[in-house]
Amino acid sequence: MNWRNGLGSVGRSGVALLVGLALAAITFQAGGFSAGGTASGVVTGAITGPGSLALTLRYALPLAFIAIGVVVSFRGGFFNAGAQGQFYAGGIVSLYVGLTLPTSLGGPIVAMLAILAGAVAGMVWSILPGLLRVYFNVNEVIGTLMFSFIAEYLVTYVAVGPLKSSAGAGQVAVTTSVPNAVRVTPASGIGIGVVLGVLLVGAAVWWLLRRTRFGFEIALIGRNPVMAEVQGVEIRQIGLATFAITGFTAGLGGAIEILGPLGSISSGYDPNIGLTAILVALVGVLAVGGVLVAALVFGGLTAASLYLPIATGLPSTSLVFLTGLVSFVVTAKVGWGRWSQGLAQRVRGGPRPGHRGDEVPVPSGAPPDADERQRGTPAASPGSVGTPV
Amino acid sequence: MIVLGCNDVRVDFGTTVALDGVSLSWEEAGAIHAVAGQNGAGKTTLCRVLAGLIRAERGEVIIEGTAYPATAQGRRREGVELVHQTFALPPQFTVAEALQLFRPGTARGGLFQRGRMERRWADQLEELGFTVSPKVLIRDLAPEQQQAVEITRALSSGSRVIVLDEPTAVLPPEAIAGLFDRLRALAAQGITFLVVMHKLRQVRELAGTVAVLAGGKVVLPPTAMGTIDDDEIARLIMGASSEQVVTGASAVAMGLADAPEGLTGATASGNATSVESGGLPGRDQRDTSEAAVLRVQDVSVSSVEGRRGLRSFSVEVFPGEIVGIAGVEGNGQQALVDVVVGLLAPREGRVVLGGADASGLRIAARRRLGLRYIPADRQSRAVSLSSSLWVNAMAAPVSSGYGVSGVVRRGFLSERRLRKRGEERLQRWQVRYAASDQAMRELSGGNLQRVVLAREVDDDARVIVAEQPTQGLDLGGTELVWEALRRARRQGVGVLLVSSDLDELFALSDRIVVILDGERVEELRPPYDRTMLGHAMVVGAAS
Amino acid sequence: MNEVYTFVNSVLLGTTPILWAALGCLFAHRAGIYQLGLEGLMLIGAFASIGGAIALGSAWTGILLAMAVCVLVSVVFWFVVVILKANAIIAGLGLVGIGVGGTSFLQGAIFHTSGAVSANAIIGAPVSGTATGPLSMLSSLSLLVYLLPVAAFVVWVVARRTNFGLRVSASGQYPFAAKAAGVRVRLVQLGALCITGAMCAIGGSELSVGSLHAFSYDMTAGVGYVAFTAVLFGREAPWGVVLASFIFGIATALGIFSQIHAIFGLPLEFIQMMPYIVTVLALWFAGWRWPQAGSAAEGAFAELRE
Repeated sequence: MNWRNGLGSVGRSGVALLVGLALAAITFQAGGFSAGGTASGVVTGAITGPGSLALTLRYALPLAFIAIGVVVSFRGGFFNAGAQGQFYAGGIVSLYVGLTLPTSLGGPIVAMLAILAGAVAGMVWSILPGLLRVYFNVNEVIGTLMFSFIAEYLVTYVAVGPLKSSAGAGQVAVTTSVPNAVRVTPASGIGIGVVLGVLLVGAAVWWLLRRTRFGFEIALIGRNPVMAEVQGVEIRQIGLATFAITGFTAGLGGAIEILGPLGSISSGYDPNIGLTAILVALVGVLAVGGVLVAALVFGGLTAASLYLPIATGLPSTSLVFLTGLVSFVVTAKVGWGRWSQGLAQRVRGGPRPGHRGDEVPVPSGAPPDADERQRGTPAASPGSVGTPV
Repeated sequence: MIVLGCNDVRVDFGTTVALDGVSLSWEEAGAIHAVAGQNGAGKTTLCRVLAGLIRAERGEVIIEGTAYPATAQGRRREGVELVHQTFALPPQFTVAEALQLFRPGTARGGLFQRGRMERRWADQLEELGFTVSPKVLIRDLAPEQQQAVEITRALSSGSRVIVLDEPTAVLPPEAIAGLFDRLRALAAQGITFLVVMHKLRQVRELAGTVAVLAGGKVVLPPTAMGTIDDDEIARLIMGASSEQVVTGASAVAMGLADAPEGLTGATASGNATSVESGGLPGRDQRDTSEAAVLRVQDVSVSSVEGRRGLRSFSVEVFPGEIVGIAGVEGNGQQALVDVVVGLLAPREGRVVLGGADASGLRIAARRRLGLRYIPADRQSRAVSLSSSLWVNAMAAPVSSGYGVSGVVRRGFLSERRLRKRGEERLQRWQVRYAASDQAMRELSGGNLQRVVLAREVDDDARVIVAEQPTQGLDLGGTELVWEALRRARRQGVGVLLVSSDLDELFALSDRIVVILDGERVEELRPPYDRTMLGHAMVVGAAS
Repeated sequence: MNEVYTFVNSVLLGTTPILWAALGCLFAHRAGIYQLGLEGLMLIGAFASIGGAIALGSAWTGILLAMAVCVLVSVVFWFVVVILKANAIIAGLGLVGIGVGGTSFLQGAIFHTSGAVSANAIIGAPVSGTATGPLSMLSSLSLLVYLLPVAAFVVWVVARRTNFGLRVSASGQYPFAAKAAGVRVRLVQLGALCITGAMCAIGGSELSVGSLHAFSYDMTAGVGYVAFTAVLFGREAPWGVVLASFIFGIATALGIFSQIHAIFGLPLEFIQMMPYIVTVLALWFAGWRWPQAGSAAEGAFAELRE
């Protein structure tokens, strides 16, 4: 690892976080809430208060699952922005499996099967836009977002439709809860299995990125897809695989959330977790270790957002505001010279399908020709991030 | 009166001098003047200075008798319009919209009526003799039609002087005559054209005068075509350029000193080359050339914008042989390289590597057969600037799966051992670095190319495609690359050398195949004759 | 018959905010910037217009205030995305967060409530209180609905019949050409983003001072994303965007309608997700049919970035 680049990336994401916090503090102060009071509220809500740390961990776990997978796509230069939909897909399918399989099979076995089914569902939900991306050059941001919207309606559908709980008399439709035997954690959302699961998935992804040819090739594509292709990397296969992995872990996150703390899905369920997970991946400089830390930070902020209304009267949605501010600036390329060319260079691409990082020149477009096809570098690729592998 | 000219113009790009005290003047209005020169001679830069698109270090530009300082900030100069080599027309605009973008005219409040606007441009196009509908989308136009729109755009400014940068480069051969007719007709109406071209035949066909640039200097002031013959122009284009551009005079000295080795190389591999009994290989002889490490057979590739295709192109490379591909840039070299490497599937024909048909093989499989590639575009194709040195050195072996036994097993790799393997490669090629995990972008040009050599010129190589391998390198770097290719030849590797540096071709090649318009027009053997090669490159096969 | 009138009424109601925002977003897209923060801009607009209406006593001044605020936010967005070269998608998603969280926070800070903030000053509804007959199609629809045809026409004129419109398209499609034609690409993008901001403000205002006469937390509920999709689906052409917005509006109305009457036995949610499925299919078709479309523009972007 190149320490200068590494430091640059970490410094940059830290700065984005600080800028976001500072802007939020200024806004809160201007709105009549003391910034100091808010800050101490955050500390209490996330760390020092009774049960705060547990709550922080509870919200950090699903974030970590998703963000670890997002790292894989982003490292390969594929901007998979549909983690929320993949999370939903995982949740829905695991719920369905958890409810359908007889508990006589044994709770843990049903749970395992349900989790696996959820992960595969997330994978499918990610591979579909991935196929559109690598074979039809459909911008993956749009594709994954569309699939997220579709999944959102599926959530409502299952909540009010086939899996609706007959017991619920409240305003919001809720599905039947999975039997306790199948639940992977108590309502607190913390179970040793889940924590181990995060560590296991983190270790697996770390190992995949650092110890396999596949990881080596992902890094090559993410940094310079043209060069990667010339070296013999099969860009389409690797690209699809990154979509699959991201979807798999997001589906895993959804499954564990539903089979864990929630137990059921309510209509209009929106944990706003997709964007936060992308943010966790970016703030964690697309490194597994960094993501785990960033997940704890954002898990802590989520926990604090539940405490702040009680402590200071600040609405819990202030957290959404804060994450919004951080996202707004986290990829900005502030002119610090060449000292840190990490994060901003990464996903700065943007508007049109077909943006690349700065080191990648764009081959001139060939018109469609039935006989003679330009073998494919997928057009869009964000540049590269962080440190050389 | 001087209708167009420049006086003592100097333009620097960083440390390279693109134009060095260029003074030119054309006096005859309503005529077509040509500027010829090799790639890198400064032709395009001259065009841009004349049109005021870039700023010169010093000098002045003369337009219709008036002198303007060429050092003024790059504001478009009234009176001269430039038609770029790549068209500056938005593909999804209609013809009328594209023209309107450039010439908003006097529309009130920026508002226009579509019908009226289209009529305005239809009239203009018709007046200039172009049959292009203003309602068609730019991307649906043929290249010659796009060019017509560009010329209309240029003339609609009221300019009487138009500079065309390589106008024939993008056109299919059958459209060139039409362009020439149109230009002549417009010239007859009093428009003055300055046309930059490298094909001598076309210059002779079209222009009244020719000037030659080489190495950023004028080697021939505008001269009436009638007073100078092709060989003389070809000699000026080729001769002067190689002494000043690219490698510098001392590299030439080195090249000349090395020339005998090129000759001996040819003799050494004489048994292989003798099969062809000189000239183009006949179809019936193909089966006897079993030993070739690379055979490109009758490959055809369609031309697309920005890349000339190939027409039934064939070339063979035998073990221990360096085959040079000579040609003015943009005559199909890129397509040839891409087809061989596996980036482009040919429409017709096949590529054979070491006896195995590689046409359907992916890049990784071709590399496993011993194909190596030193790309011209180093920063995008050859290296990943933000990756570390050892990753760059090991990228192809890991991705394609060769030369990494004991390091990569079933897709699992040991980073430590891989890095060590990479460092061995780097050290063997004497790459200067502090730590092998430093980013590639921190290396200088010559050092960077060493990393590429460390990856591509290895023990498993059977065929090396070297594309402009010494472009932009200093003397030491050039020497290193040449030595590397020679050593590879001694070890029985076949090298396909694509270069626009004639001295490089002369110094290294056992044979030189000349490519023009995507076709193989000539094959030369030592001793090479510069005039003959130059003639073949710009005119075609010797009659 | 009355059911048809009610249905048309809810189509118009559902389409209006989508269409205002989508017509604005059209300019950002044409200028080559994916403005994914529409949702945030609309919320900010909705909140500012209610705030302005309450403070200044007139809904119209409220809308002007909302437009001013959204234009300001758009300038900041432009600065971050175009000047600081932040990723437009991430920054856009961030803008949504700022809109959702920021308005919620200000709602608490200014109005000391987390419920709905209602205003007495509202946009007039020319037709109201008509429960039956053809006129009931227009019942209780605000003036902003009636302004839509005008807005769509003006957008079409500006985008397709002015030099500014050509410059916007050139900047987005092929900046190399735009620069060769002397267009200052960044400034054109600023203009386009400001138009987007202003029109999102109107779309948000339609929700608050126009139809619901109140502001509540996250009241856009995805309308901004729908508008964004409508621009893609409408292929960035003014009338295409109008059509796409109506399709989405109809889907919304069908959703309401099918709560009462079953449609082909399809669950409501499947009708609601139809627009997204259609968008995916349209994108797939475009990618399959014109695989290289837009790659010329790509190359140009590389040059633009120099």
